[in-house]
Amino acid sequence: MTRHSEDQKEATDEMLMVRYQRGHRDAFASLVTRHATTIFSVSFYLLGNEVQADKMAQDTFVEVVREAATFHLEAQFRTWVFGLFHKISSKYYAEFPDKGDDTRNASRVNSTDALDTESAPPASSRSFRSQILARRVANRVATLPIPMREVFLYKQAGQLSLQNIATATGADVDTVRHLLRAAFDRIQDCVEDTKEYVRALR
Amino acid sequence: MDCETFERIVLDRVFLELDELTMGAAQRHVAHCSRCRSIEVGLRATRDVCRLPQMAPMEGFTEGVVAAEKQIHSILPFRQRANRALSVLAAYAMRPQPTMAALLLLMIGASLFLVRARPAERDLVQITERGVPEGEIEQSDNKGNNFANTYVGANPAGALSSDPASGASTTPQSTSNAHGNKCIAHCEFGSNCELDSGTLGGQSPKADNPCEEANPSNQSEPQLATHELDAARAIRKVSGCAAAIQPFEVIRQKYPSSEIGQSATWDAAECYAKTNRRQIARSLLESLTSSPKYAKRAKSQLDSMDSH
Repeated sequence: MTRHSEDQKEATDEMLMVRYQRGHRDAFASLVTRHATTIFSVSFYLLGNEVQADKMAQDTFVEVVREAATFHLEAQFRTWVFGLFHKISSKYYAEFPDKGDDTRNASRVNSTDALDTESAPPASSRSFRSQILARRVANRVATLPIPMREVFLYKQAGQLSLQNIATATGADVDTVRHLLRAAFDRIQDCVEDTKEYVRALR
Repeated sequence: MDCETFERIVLDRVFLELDELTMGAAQRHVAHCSRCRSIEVGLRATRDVCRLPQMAPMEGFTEGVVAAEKQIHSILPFRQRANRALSVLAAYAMRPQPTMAALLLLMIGASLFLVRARPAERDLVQITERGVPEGEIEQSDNKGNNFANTYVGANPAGALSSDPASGASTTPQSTSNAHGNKCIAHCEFGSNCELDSGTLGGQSPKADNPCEEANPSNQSEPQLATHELDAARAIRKVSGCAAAIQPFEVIRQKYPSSEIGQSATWDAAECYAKTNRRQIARSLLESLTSSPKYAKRAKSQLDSMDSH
């Protein structure tokens, strides 16, 4: 492994972004590798479709290229990327308006087959029950209104702080708290009968 | 902390985003408020249960994004290209080495432009007391030497340079120096020294007055006569009477009836007397006895010669 690639690994996201602004394309490739999974996961849980999620994640990184000059070193890269992601997602909501309709997706709640088999979380080392629980949560998330769903996914899948979510979405922190609290309350309804929930209560 | 405040910050507490002070206050509130405690426990359980698994993107996702990035840069607008190039240049300009190199080049260029060229040529020019560049003096001296050679060779009276009767120890070198000085004297009046060679060698009738020959339009005849007399006196002063006799004779013959001619006759007589050629001196003084200016002095001088 070369020293250059080692430097890329040790560098923070912000440093890599500044390097990319100065013309180092390797830095951009490193950033994509680091954040592809997170962006794709949020896209997937947001849209519920793997192909669309892939396209949306790619569009987000293309937007990073286009808006690279607007990035400042003082900003957090992850927050900045989710800000771009938020803008991109608005266009997708326009293309798939039914995804955000809470009432039309009410039947999906508590249904383990609500998500397409292709787009469901793949099998892993998790136990079967955990997979069932994850699908149930994902289905419940898909029924949430878009702002609520977005805030929930930014927090749970994107690992953003409440303040950073507010920055990325352009809302104030109290609004984010309110939306997230509502999302948690609704999802809690569909998981409180599970053994995992009961175990977590202890 | 009351329950309302706790409910507002409970999510911050669940996700550990509170500062220590508020966290402590919330902790104290939860310790005695079962309702808020149950809310917090429920949210923590939901947080843990609702951890969504990370989804790996489709194969070739990164390559596709990088290819798209290349495509975008290949069709980058000129303005963005210029900005990017400017950014790269500015990054280099911020480093001290290119800045110092640019400064050095600027200094060299400015010195080439501002400092005047050919300083050595100016060093060669030195002004003498007489206000003539040294180089021209040397040139005049050389011409004077040429003239001296011509003069000595052409004039049978050149024997005066080694006239034993005069007692003067004038060598050919001193003669040439004398004529060189004469030449300088002529140059000071704007004449050409080379013309004197013909004059004093008696080979050019028209060149009796070299100054007139050289610059006839600048000076009138009385002025020329005065200058010639001054030049002859200068020769007498520098080289002695033996060398000055000939110029005095020339002036005397050239302006026989004028006041300048009489002055030249008087000076020639003096020189003849000093060189022990008394007969010639006497005849010249006798010719001056009819001059109103020199009659008295000529008679006095004649008497003095007779008494000796």
